[in-house]
Amino acid sequence: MSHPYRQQGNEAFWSRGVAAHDPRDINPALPAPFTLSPRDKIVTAGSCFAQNISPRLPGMGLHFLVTEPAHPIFPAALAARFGYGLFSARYGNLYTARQLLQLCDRVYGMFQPREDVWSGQDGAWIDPFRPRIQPRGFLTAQEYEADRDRHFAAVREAFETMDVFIFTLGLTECWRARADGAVFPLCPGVAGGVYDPARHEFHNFTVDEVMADLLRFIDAIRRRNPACRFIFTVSPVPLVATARRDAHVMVASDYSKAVLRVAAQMAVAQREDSAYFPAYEIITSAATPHYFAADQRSVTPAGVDHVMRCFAASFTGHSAPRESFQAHDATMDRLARMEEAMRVDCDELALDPDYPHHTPLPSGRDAPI
Amino acid sequence: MSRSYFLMGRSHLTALWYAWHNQAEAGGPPPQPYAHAPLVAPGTRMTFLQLESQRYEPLFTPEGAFHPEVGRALATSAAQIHVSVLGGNDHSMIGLVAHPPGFDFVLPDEPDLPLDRQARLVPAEMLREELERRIAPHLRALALLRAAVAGRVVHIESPPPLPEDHIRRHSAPFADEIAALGIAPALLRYKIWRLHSGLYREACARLGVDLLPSPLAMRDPSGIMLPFGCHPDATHGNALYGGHVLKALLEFTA
Repeated sequence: MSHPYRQQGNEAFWSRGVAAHDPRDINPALPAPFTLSPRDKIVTAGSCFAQNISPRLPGMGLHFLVTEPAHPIFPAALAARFGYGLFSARYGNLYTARQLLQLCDRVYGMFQPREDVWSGQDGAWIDPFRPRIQPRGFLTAQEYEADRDRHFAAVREAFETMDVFIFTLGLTECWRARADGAVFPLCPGVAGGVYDPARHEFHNFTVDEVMADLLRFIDAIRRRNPACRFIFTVSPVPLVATARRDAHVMVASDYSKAVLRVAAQMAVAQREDSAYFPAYEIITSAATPHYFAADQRSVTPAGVDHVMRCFAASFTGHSAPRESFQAHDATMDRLARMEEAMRVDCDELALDPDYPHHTPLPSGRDAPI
Repeated sequence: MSRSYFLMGRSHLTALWYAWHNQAEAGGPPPQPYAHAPLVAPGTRMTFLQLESQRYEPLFTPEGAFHPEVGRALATSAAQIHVSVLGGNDHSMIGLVAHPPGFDFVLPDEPDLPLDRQARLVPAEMLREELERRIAPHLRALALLRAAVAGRVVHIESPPPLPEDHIRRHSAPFADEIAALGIAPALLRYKIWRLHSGLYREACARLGVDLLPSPLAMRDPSGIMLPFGCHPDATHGNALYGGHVLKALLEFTA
């Protein structure tokens, strides 16, 4: 007897697509609608889980485009503390689709939030839209403004030159300004600013809102960069806290993820050259290994590895040189050489036989006038 | 008035020692070119402890104390005033050579200084943290010095950056790097030096140490060392510069 399931592949059946595999080898990602080549410039953004994706792209032979890199004089760990290298530009975590759309509107001058600076400790200037991008905020108004100008230019460059954009949706819950709807990544008062119920309100985005924001973003980018392709994922990391009064954090978290998951699917269905990648499913499925750390929230490295193996299988098959790391390595080598030269220089000064009136330097000897 | 000083430090101590030594050898008022920095101070005694010696390596014991010889020198020091010339060249690690790509930053203490908009902007706080990491051993030594002695402790600010022409003529041992990359813009080198000095200023305030600024008379209007104060290398002051510092030290501690 014939029926549609007879034409389905193994992946359509739980027994063959899931149960038949070692849990570490389950790959729920079907072949992607497009593939990535080493020449494709990839821009990443999204919630904290998205930070796991960027550093692994070069190792997969892919070109992680960074338009706002740290200067190579800084060690990588310090650069990361200042928000460099986590994503293609220094925008910090973009948890919601509205944040992403808002960033796009801001860098092209379509939206200028009224509340665009917060006060931090010791007079520091805090960017409300990336409040933890610097541990203590910006030290002066001049620096804050110059850095924001540079940041916007870097984001524009990323948006206009990228071939592929990967966005990891993280949250539906947000805090926004009542005056103009500007959304903040963190509630005012958490990392700068002052929470004021007269000025700030809680909002939990719906499926329709998230989908509409994603579509508006895709359209806005394609007006400037028509060939750009999009990959959406949903972060498997649960909410750290909910602002809802009517739901346990576990329930609020599942609701948010469900909204994001559906919205991503609906957006992808409406735009060509866009894809959904099931990172969320790989990590949260009961069929795969338990990939959460002891806090039941952080994803383990093994989980990230599983996600990226599946990502590579779906989207790649090529290798590429790691140009993005060469500049940094060269500068670190130079600084090491200079440190040695400085040591030699200082030693030489102390021992310089050509210096006028040279005598060996005394150690602890009186030299009375 | 009779005063006694104990000065300890590394390479920047040398300029001070030569200034003092030259004068001591002359047996009286210092000869040219020290006429501008007379150090005539009858009864003044200065003891120099040059740490740039394998004899004092490593400077810290595993327990975090000074090398025993340094500890003994301080424990037996009868000086009224102890002077730190510790560290002071870490700003040059970042600021001497034009590490590509060109960069600039907003100096927090003087935010209206020109900013090169074509260069890559780096956060001042990040630069500060990197310098902090580099000078940490010197601040540790300064804290040990402060704890080891009674009485006044003075830290001497490191010399300002040297003029480009001078560096170019005396670029060894950085000649290869400078030939390949060039010298960083003077304004950037000045800003980094100021940021570096600010870290010492903060440490001095925390530790109860007085900070003696580099002599203004030895800087040009843009804050760069005047040519006649430069030692024939890329980063140090000479004996004339050292003489000005000693003169300022005597006045500062009068």
